[in-house]
Amino acid sequence: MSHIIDVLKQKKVKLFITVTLGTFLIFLFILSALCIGPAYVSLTKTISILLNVDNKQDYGNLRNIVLNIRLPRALCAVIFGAALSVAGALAQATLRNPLVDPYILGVSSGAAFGAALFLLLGFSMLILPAAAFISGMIAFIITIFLSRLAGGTTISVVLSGIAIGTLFSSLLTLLIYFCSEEKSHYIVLWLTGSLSTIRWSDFNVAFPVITILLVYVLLRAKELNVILLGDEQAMQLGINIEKLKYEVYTLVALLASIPTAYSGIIGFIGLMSPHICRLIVGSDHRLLLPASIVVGANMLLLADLVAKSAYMLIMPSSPTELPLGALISMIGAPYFIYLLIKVRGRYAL
Amino acid sequence: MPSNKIKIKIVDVAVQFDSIRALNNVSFHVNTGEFVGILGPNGAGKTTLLRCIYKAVKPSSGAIYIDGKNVEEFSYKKLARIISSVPAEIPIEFNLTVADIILTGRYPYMDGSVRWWESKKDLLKADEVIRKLRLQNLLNRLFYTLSSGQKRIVLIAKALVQEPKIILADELISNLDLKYQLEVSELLKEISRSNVTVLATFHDLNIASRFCNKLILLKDGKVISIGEPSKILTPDLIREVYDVKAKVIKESDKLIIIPEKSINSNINYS
Repeated sequence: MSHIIDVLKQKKVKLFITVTLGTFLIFLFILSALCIGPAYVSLTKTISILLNVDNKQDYGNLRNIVLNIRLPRALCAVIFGAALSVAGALAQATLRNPLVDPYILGVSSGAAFGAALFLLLGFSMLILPAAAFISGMIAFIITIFLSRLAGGTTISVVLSGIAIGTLFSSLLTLLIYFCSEEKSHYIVLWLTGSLSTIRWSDFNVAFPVITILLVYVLLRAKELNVILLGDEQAMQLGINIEKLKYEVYTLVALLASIPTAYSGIIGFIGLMSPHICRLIVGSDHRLLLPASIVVGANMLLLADLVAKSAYMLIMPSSPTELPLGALISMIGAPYFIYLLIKVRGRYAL
Repeated sequence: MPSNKIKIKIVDVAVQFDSIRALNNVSFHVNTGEFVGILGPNGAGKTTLLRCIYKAVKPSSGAIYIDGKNVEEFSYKKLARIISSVPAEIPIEFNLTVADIILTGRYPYMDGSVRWWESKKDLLKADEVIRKLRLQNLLNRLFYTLSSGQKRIVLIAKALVQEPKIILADELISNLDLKYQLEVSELLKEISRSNVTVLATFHDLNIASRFCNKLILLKDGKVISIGEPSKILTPDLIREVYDVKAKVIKESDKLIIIPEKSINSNINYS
């Protein structure tokens, strides 16, 4: 029985190496994120603040910056990156379309619009994730419906998503004209994507919800493998395909909307991360999903680090952040074009 | 030899797609261990018939029974432990390996969501099939890089790993070269000898007559004739079903069908 057991062993080794290495990098980037920013905090100081080992030393505001501003921000980058990446992997598997992610499907823009609308109407910040989910789900359903009307091809899904995403982004932009300056600041951040407003209260809501969702998705990895063989084969292998699809669509909307409610529109993580992971570990979702979690987390952490620290190279005298969403799109958009050309060669669009 | 126990019973099955009647009161039965070839021109209803058996299409009337039980009473998962299908093709958007595809055949046996990896029993079954079909060296190959013949063998392996009592194969030997046409048909014949019932659609009458022990002729969703190949593949029936004039030569126990001329051609050559 050597052959198939060997294949399975290779898979387990790949999974172990990817997750271990990915987790190590996450810790490394978190530590960097705690040190780097307008106020530089040395590694020694950061570690002693984190471990609370040097009580006698008064770090003044640095303690507050590290523990209450940078730490929740870095931890949210981890869970949001993981959530967006897994949402992309799920959407790609169910739609059997390597060109989609929550942003391209219009879910992120829909979610951001919903959150902004509720904020404008005076609802509490606490219900923003729920508002984002409902609106993100509506955007997703419209995209799927439109793509079916347009022929259901790979490219029709992409085009429908872009149309719906543009529509919701435009609506979001219009909202700026109807709200106060303080709220319009939020909306601009949502449009460009940013983790700068994240605090512990946000992390405390997002972390348990996203963790539960990710564990649930990991347990469905086997079904996602089967679904790659096509709807009819999946059905023939014992899957209630309609039920599974609705379940996965809801998961995609939830995993994309919750980060969007707090950080605005961050596109392309869900496109690039699963694709890179497929190149490393293959398409078996038992490997792909854990790999997507660590790679997505690393990508957003790294992008946020760059967003925070790029001013040092560009304008050292004026510490301003680059918009995170725009920064990722600068890499994501060319990557999407590359995939578009590559995929076009493989099968008819 | 196939036993005489009825495995599949199809009673008055009709399927309506909008204004098209895809199947029209189809009735027949198949015994355990038979290798049944479903023949007919394009659009005759061959694929629809197979899809009805594994519940991908719901008949507008009539019923299908497996071991005396209506298929509608089976859950998808339970049915997947009885029936497996060999599709004509599968999507190739993602880089699935041969091993990935073969192991999906164990999904119907992986109860609950908690089991992450295949059990030892799952792997033993997969290994048995992989060895039998000599796929050891292809396990890490990406499926889409295989030849059509290799792809078909891998999909048959996936179907066998399911440990089915019935295998349904659509367009079994379409797009295959001569060698693979014979190898794939021989493989299915051998599988049927181990009391697995096989239903496959064919366009090649010679191959179907050589390997199947029962043939079903379909035209416009209706069963025109059912029986042994020598009784079914007559010049008159071929003419009626295919609109083709053909010569049928009997040589010992084999039939040789030579199509000669299309009658009532759809194409205007002038």
